[in-house]
Amino acid sequence: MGRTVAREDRHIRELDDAQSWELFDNAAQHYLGISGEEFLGRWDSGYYEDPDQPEVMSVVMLLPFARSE
Amino acid sequence: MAGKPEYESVQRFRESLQRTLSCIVRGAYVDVKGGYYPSPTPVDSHGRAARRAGQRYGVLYQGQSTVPVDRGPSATGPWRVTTVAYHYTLQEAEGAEILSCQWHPGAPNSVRFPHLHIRQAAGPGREELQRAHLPTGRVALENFVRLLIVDFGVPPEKDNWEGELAKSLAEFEEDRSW
Repeated sequence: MGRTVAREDRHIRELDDAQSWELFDNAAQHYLGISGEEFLGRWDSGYYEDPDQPEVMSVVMLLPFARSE
Repeated sequence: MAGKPEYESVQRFRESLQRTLSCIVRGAYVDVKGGYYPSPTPVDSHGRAARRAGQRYGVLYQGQSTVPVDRGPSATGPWRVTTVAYHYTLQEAEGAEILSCQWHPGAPNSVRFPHLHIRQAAGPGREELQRAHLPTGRVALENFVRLLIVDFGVPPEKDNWEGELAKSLAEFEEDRSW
């Protein structure tokens, strides 16, 4: 049921899987200087004992863009 | 999916979001992924409207939502988009955060209640304030946008911004579950 077609409806941009990953990866690099893959590894392993840091939470909020539906 | 109630409920939510953000961000857009069917986990992350608001500020909106079945009354029938996390941030144009309204109950090792962060760019003198999770009630995006316009002097992008915010806020109030 995953959507793979990107489209733009007014100012709502529905991203396909590749675009979603790119958004997430760019955010991880922008806020933390690491790749999206590296962030996921850290997040899933509990690396961030205090995730409530502005840079970390800004990436955490984008996790749905990185996870498959 | 067009015409199906679950699709319409998602579209209604997204349009409300875009309408609200466009009151202060010229050309505001909302990036979305999926979210047209019920799911116990967030499948749709709305936003990254990190754009300049006026000459001085930047605004970052991030949110996560899902589309559950809800048997309560709703304008879109049994389907209702539910926010499961939000993150509204006012920052300097250069990127330093000023304040941030947040609710992210699913994040481990963090607080589960809605809260406010007052960051360094706000100029708080006490170190504790920069770390504190100041408890709040749930904050609607519309009220955050109003705060920026009224108290921070962010110039509205629409003459009828009050009406636009009121319309979106009414939709939020109609659909909110808490």
